Amino acid sequence: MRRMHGSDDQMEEPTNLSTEKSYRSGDRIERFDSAERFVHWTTAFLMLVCIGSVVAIQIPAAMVFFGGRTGLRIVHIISGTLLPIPLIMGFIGFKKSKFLKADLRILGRFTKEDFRWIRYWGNNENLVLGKFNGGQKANYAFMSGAVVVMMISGFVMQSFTVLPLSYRIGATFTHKLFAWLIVIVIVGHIGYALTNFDSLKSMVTLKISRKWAEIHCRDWVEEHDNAKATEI
Amino acid sequence: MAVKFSDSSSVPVARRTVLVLSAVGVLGVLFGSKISDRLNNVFSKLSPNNPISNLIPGGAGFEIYTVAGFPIRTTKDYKLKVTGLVNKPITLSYSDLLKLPPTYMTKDFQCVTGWRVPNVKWTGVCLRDILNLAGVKQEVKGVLFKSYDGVYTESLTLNQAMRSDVIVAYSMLGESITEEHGGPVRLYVAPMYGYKSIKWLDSIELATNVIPGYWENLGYAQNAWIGRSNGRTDQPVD
Repeated sequence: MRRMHGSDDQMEEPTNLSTEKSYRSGDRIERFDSAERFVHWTTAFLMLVCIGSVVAIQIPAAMVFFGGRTGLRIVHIISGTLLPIPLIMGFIGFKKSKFLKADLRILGRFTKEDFRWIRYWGNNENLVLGKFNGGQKANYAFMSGAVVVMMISGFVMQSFTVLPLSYRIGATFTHKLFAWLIVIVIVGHIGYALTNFDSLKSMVTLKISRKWAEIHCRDWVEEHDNAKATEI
Repeated sequence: MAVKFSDSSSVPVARRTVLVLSAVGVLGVLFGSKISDRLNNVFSKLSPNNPISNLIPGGAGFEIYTVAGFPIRTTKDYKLKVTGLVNKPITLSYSDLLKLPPTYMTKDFQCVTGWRVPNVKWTGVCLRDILNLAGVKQEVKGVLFKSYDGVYTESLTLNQAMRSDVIVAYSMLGESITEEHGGPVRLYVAPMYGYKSIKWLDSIELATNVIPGYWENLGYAQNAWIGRSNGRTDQPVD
């Protein structure tokens, strides 16, 4: 994000300049595919509905406007239950997806560099910058787990007639606590998206500007260019 | 420089986070009530009733509960029926209630699910006065309350209903009772858990026996004394 371009003296191998020119001339690099875009925005939409419906319940005027608590509660439960569906659909419905599985594998695993990224929060010139950084991976890991917590606690909150009262109280507490954690993480996520507008745009156009990628995903760009070079 | 995206030294953090948080979720359900109750004790002493307190986990604010949505009745078309084993069935309008001698109380509202709102201002008519207006027959043992949401019911023994801290309330939190809090008219049974304080009060029926209400049918205690029922040990409301 705020880190500067790394020094070029790490590139020891002589490069074929003409080849470099030809692949460097493209100023946008394929970053996502349409399956990923679908998964991202449908999940975002469901999350918006899920949070919006519960916010509306807290504001009396909004609650009346949307036709009362009962309807909003159903909307909240349905949108929340559907949250993992886009990702599951991404797995089974988009066999031809170019990146989805590989990207999830990258997102799901931390290398030493990712732990270092977290420690410096990106503010270190010597970090290896792959396609996703430690912060993005932490976001993915937390949100995946948090959705599971919300599902478990939300389910118990619904089952008040068969389970002991103390479980329902515990579930309500857990659900509220993680609701706030999720909101904080999402606000951060949107904040980073808005301050990295090129990156946000790539979630729509699927292509990332080389300028942004070379700052934030330098080593991924390098790998990408090397792969392109060998293709040529 | 070779980029190690998925080398053998990488750690499956996402999978582990999901597993750990799943465990946290289950533990939260099993034992979270202990933390929640403790926080609630602290919050209900510290913070006055404010609109954000019900957003904090364990905060001391009202949770709005309803089992059948929000039935709307204005103060103009509101009617309270008192029927069953009475000498003279009566129907009271909202303005009739306002004309009866008022009872003022400032007392906590304790929910059986753990939250407690401190020092809520209540105004209403003592239930005893209303029952006496209709005339309670000798054989009456139980009092049944029905909500105009068409689903919720509650009941008290006659002795409980005759207590001076049981009121038919038309004002709470210093204002007319809002729709979400059960307005325009609800019951407030001070010494008992909140589920006894039926919202959107429609009718009071006197009978020879106590007929279990909505939550009693689902396993809650009939005699819902705060701190002495439902397996809870909350501080009683004085």
